[in-house]
Amino acid sequence: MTSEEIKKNERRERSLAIARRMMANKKAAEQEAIDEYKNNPAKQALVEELRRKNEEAGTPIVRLPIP
Amino acid sequence: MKKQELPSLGYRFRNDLTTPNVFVFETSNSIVYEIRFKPSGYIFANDPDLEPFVFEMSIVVIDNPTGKRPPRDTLVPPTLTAIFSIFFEQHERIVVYICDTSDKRGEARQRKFSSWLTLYGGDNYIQFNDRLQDDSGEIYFVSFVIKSSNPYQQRLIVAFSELITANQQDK
Repeated sequence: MTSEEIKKNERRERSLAIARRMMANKKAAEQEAIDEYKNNPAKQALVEELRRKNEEAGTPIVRLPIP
Repeated sequence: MKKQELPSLGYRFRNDLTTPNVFVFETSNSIVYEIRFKPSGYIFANDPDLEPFVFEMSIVVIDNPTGKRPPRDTLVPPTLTAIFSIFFEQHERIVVYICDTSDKRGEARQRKFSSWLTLYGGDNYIQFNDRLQDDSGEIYFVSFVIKSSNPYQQRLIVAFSELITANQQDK
């Protein structure tokens, strides 16, 4: 294997390591978000307040961006 | 807890100032989403100047009383774009998004993400969508979004293409 090929392999492995780490982080962040909502009364209160405001305001209106 | 209500284009959303860069909203089906941007400087570790600006994004269903997969909801994409507009008030920021592939719908997710950002974000954002594949056949669908006004635009494009092409050269 030439030094150029070794470098390419190293770069490829580095890229894959980053992608694997990103996927692991994503799964951890998802679990953390779910657990936090279950266990954090402040976050539940935040959602409850949002829910109340949504009920008061009714169905939201989508304003499409002007082209 | 200090809270800030934000203008909404789609569903009303909020962020919790005690947890920076975390936003929540509830859909008309009572499904609660959390959008989380987590600092992730390691992605472009070869260019340390960029490190403070790199964030991984997660879109998480944190409460779903229906017990079913969330249905297509046309109000979700403009809500996400409105959240983006708040997050990207700091123009140097970079969002990297890796799609969940556990149910084999990673490619469809990436396509959907790309199309809503194009539709609702218009010329405000530049996005790159690509994939990495390892020897076992596992595919990682990676998307990268910056504001079109990002002062590091050229460096970021180089950094992202290096990340992807390193994988593709031998494929």
